[in-house]
Amino acid sequence: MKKSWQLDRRAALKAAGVSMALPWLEAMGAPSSKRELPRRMCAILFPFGVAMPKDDAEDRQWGWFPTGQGKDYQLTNVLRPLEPLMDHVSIFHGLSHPRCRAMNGHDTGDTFLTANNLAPVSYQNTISIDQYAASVIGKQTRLPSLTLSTDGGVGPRTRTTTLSYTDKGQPIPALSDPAQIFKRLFGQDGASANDRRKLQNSESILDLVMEQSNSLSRNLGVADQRKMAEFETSVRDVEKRVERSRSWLDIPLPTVDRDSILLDTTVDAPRDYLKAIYDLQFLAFQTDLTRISTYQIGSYGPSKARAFPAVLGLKPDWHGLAHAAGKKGGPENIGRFDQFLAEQLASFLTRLQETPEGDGSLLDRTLVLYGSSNSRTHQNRNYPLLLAGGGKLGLRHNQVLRFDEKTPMSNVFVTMLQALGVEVDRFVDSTGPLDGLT
Amino acid sequence: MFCNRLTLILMASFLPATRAVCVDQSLDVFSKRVHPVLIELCDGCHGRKKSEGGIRLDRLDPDLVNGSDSEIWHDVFEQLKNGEMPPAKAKQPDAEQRKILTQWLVGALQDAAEAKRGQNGRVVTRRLTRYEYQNTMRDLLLIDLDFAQGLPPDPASQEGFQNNGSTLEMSPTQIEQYLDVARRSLSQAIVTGDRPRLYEVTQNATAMGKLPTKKFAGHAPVSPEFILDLKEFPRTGPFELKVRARAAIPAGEGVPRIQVSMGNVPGIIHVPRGEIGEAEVDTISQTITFHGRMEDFPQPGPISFGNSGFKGMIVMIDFVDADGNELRYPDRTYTAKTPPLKKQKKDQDEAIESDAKKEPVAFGGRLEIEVQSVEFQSPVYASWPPPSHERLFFASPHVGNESLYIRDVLKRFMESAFRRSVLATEVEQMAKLFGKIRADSETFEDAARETLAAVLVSPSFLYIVEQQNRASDDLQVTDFELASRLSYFLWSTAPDQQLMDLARQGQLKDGKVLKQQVERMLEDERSSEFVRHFVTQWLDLGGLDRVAVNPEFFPGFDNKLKTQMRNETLAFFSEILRADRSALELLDSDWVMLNRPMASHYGLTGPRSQEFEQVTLESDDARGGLLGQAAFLLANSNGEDSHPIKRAVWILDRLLGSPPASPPADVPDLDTENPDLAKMTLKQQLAVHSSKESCGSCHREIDPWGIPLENFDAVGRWRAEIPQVNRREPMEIDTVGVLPSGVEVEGPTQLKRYLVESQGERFAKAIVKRLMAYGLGRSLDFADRQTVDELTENFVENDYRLRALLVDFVQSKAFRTK
Repeated sequence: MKKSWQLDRRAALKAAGVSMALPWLEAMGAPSSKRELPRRMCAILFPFGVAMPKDDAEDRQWGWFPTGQGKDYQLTNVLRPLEPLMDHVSIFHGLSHPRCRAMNGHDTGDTFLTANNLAPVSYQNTISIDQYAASVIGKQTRLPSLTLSTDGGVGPRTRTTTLSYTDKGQPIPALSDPAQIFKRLFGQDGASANDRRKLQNSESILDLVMEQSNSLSRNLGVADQRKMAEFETSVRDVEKRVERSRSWLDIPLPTVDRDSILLDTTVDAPRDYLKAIYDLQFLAFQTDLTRISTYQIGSYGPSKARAFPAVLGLKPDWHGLAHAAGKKGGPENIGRFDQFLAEQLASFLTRLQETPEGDGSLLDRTLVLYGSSNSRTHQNRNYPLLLAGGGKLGLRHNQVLRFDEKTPMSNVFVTMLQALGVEVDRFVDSTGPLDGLT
Repeated sequence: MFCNRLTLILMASFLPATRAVCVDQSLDVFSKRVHPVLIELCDGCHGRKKSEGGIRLDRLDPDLVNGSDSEIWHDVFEQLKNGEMPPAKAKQPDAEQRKILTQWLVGALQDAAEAKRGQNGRVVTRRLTRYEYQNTMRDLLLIDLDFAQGLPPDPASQEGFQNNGSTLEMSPTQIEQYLDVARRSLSQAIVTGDRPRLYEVTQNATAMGKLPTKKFAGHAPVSPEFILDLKEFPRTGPFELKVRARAAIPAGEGVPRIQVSMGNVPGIIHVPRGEIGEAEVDTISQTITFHGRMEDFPQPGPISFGNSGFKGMIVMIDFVDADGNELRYPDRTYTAKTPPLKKQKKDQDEAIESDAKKEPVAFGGRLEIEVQSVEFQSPVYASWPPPSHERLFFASPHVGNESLYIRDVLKRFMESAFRRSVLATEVEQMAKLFGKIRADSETFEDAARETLAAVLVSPSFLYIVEQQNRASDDLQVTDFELASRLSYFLWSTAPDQQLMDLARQGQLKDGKVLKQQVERMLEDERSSEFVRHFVTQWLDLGGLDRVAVNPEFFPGFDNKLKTQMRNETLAFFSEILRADRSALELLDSDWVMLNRPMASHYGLTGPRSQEFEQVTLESDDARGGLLGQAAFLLANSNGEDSHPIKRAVWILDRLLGSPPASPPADVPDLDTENPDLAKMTLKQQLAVHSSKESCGSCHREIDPWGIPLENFDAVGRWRAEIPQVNRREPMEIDTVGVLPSGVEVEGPTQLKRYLVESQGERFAKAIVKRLMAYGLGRSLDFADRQTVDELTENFVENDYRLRALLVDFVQSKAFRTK
């Protein structure tokens, strides 16, 4: 059944053509005409936690957390790669999601960006911070957001391979293959008559598919109807994307040097792979194709990333290293790998920082959240966590902030959202913005 | 069995009663007779003082219909029945007590089952899985493309199956993919214009190329024995590659193979290539023909890349021996005589030149392959327009009248795509879309492609739809729905013409016809899809990819062997099904299916090639059955050593149908780094584990199933002791396990014997349940219990013949109702 308003909207679009008043288009998610500088965010999770030797332990240098606090802190070997960037970085101690503390240690990848406990049985999740932000600032770019993970897809609930969840709590499939990501970002080019026709046809096809689904649904059992609703939501979402693409048709895609990225690299070469993933996010930000990205370095399930530590000759696998983090020699083993991850992060941040934008750099208007939802493996408290960038969005850095368990991690989310210009004072269980950042 | 039948008779007397009466009676029986027994037997561990495993029986709601504890009661029933509870050391129920408990549980569970079905409803309409989509598209469009490439992987259900309707999700990205794939495939299937120019290249000797010979960024070097350069090639369309070759095979050597691949992306350091196929090469010269489609292979970009060398496609032929090891000959020249490029490369070039100076060895004296000619042709079409086009645009009286003709085309296409007859209104709706698109399209074909693409993103195509008329209680599947159930079950694709015809004629529901069809379908080659997907998912063969073999422990282990391991298990199951042997042979057999690589891996001899063949075992060989197969053994190891717990859990879950509960969140793993533990045998380590209060209550029931298999190392080879690696001292193996029933078994042979002799029915039931879950594409619920029991009983009576079980299942109520 076609609803009357749908007909009207389509007809209106067609009739108005390019002479359509811009403000109206903008409300539907069209390119922004204003020249305000973009605000961006990126959130990155690594699984299984870190080493946390006591302050007087001889291998304290391989603990993830710095010693000291406030401005008076000392980085350990692990985060030393970030040293030159510390004017743009704050490190947090003691934060976690209170609602997730009692969950299985392997389940909290799902909730890293949602802050919520999973519903019993169905493991239904809720919206993640990136999608919340995307619902506001995502409208200004060609892609509302970019969801990446080493494993790709959505994975099984409680061990999902994505960090992003829709407003209905549905996991958003992540892209994992650099070539595919590149194509998603830069692949659909131009505004040929052919493209235009194709998008127009897509709209007609999706309309019809929707009608079919509606009439089909009427003859299905109750449980099947619920599944079919999932199909319809997806179709509706694609309809929106098609509309969005149409409104972008006349704006050419930015040109980028394809060969500057190792697009054919795979997870078997972790160093190249991580570089490619970070490079793609950088490019997406630089060309303003999107302002929001998430990247899950590894899932808590049978992730391909478990084999990453082999790049340093470490064994057994990541999960095993994490389990051994409390044992003799354990901190150094996982510490070296965490240091490797920090090096990759540092290159990404450096690239952002070295790229000028307005009166600052890309990093000054990009928030990069980085951390794990386990401290020690399986422990859902005291996440190793840092936030980088946003100097021009009102954030202060070069500090280690300590919190007790009364402060929920979602306070960081509130601060981030506010810095992004999203008018909000709450996110799930937050008690306010995070003290000490602004 | 006796117990079950008895209770069924008792149940029958309840049937006329209403549900409320049922519940009241049940509660009455519970408080008077059942509760006292539970208190007497179970209260010590699952009651007021202790609640092991988090279970308190005194607190469970005895109303299974309205209460929320029916799942736990179900576990109680299973454990009691399997003799797992009360544990061997505790007081056992006497015959009378056992009867009281069993009778009440069976009755109450049955009530709950009937009640549950009406409450939540089942998901019976399900999306096609990735592989079903792939097969369905191929059969529908008559072109063989990699359709599913961009689709996300499907999650596994609790039982391990990917075709479960409630876990199969849909997302916007998927819809975009489906539409994209539909358009791309239709642009291949529907052609315009004359037969395209044919590209042909023939080479009698290898081309000389400078392919990377060193490992770079994790990519293996490329060093094919034969290279075919395609300076010009079509970007799309089917190709044909004819390789004429012969081999020299000295006595005692296996049959060598060629592996053919193609691709080239200039500017990328390694050579990305896709596999075209592989084949054995015999001593008599023969021509082997390979097929593929150009668009499935990595191609050079449209714009040439800088100063990179060759800009065309490269066909590469590698030679391997029967074990899969590359064949290389130092006396051969592999590289063109190029002038020295740079000074620092001089050493390398010198090495090459000195190679070139070596006298080539004459053919015949060693294991060797000679490629005599390679002939490439593309695009190859047997006829023009190709069958894919002819099938869509068939001859009809309306050819020439676009508006009428498109309706004919649509009707036929929709019926195939939707796997049912279609209504005139449905065709009209599509025809209207055609009209709309046609107005802006240049040609009829263009508009038809777009319209047919809509059919391929329709829910009636993407989902296996089973309608439910809410006005009536008729839950019978229709004939067309039955045809789809059958074909997706046994072929993982849409019904063929014969099934569709039978459905249209209303004959498929006939029990005899169903039986004939199952038999026909099993004879058909497509039934290999059933073996592949059912066995892979049931036995979790994907686990092989989740284990990384540590090269320090197994130097020389080639990851390619994992594929052979998987194929061994598939070949084994396939043979049991083909020859209609007893499924108990899955537990133990005096024969195995081996090819050369697997035989050498096991230290056995016989097979000369990579084809799997049946090999009879010596009587003292413990290799028989699934438990002797590397696929199971490696997937359930940690890549360094065996892992008795994982193996035990697999046996309990996959073979015996009672997966142990996952460990509570606060239980630490066995700590392999602990120096004290490192000195112990695994069995001793496990004993330490089991002695911990939090672990012991479960692990005493689990570990003994895995310990007898300690004779198999991580990669499934036999071992008499655990060899020394690094700091780990050599250790003796202790393979004695005391099973929950109290029976002591030592080593794989005794374990397998025990399984065959004492667990046959339990295994039968487990197989029945998994088969049903796979065949129905959903998790079983209580209402399926009766079918499970009946099928199991018949299965056991039929000497565990799978073919009979398949026929039985397809004819069962569960398969024929929604």
